[in-house]
Amino acid sequence: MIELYAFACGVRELPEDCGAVQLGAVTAVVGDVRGDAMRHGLIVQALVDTADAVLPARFCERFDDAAALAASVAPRLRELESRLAAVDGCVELAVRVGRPDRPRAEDGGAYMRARLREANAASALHALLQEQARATVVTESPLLHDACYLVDRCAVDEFARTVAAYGDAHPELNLVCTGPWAPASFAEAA
Amino acid sequence: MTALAEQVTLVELVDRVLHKGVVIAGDVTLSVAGVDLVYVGLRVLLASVATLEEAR
Repeated sequence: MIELYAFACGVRELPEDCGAVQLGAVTAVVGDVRGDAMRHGLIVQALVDTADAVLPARFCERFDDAAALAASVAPRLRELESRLAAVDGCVELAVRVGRPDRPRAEDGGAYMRARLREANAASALHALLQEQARATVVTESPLLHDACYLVDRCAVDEFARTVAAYGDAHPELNLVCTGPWAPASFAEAA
Repeated sequence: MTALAEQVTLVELVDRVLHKGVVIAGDVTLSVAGVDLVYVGLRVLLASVATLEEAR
């Protein structure tokens, strides 16, 4: 049995202990079944540096052998090729804005105005970042803002600078940016 | 990177492989000592803290 880690194009080097199943132009990166989610994540991250386009597979995608994998993927191969083309040369950056620790409001009106200011600040950040991203996935969450941005590799530094500058200008916001990640949020969205 | 930031990144690394990515098969058989115990949809089996919080 084999475990599927990711689909990729333009693979220059496979991660340690991994093999490849070639499906047309798409490389399926596979390995022995380990059932280790962290290892899966690290393999996917290693591919970010050694392949042009990466679409991570969800954890625990297992197949009897390469032939079974090829048979399962065959009906969706064109779709996968198109998704890989959509993320080619890109990585994913996650940006979250937590609700600030604000002092107790004097009254309901002051509370609502504070909430509105925070929501507007998060929306303005999102608008700014969207301009620098090829695509965006916004997640509904209890946070003020929780989104993933598909960013060209060459634009990652500028994106990070924008986030940092916004954080400096709005110290009241709890702003966190993580990545660059393999574009997993865009695996099923293309 | 601080220890806390490193921990957060590791949690996110694992969370991403559990919740995001291409799903081809999507099912898994849990087994112990070679005996299949449970066969369930993977998405039912694996949940993050956020998902559990939502379910409460």
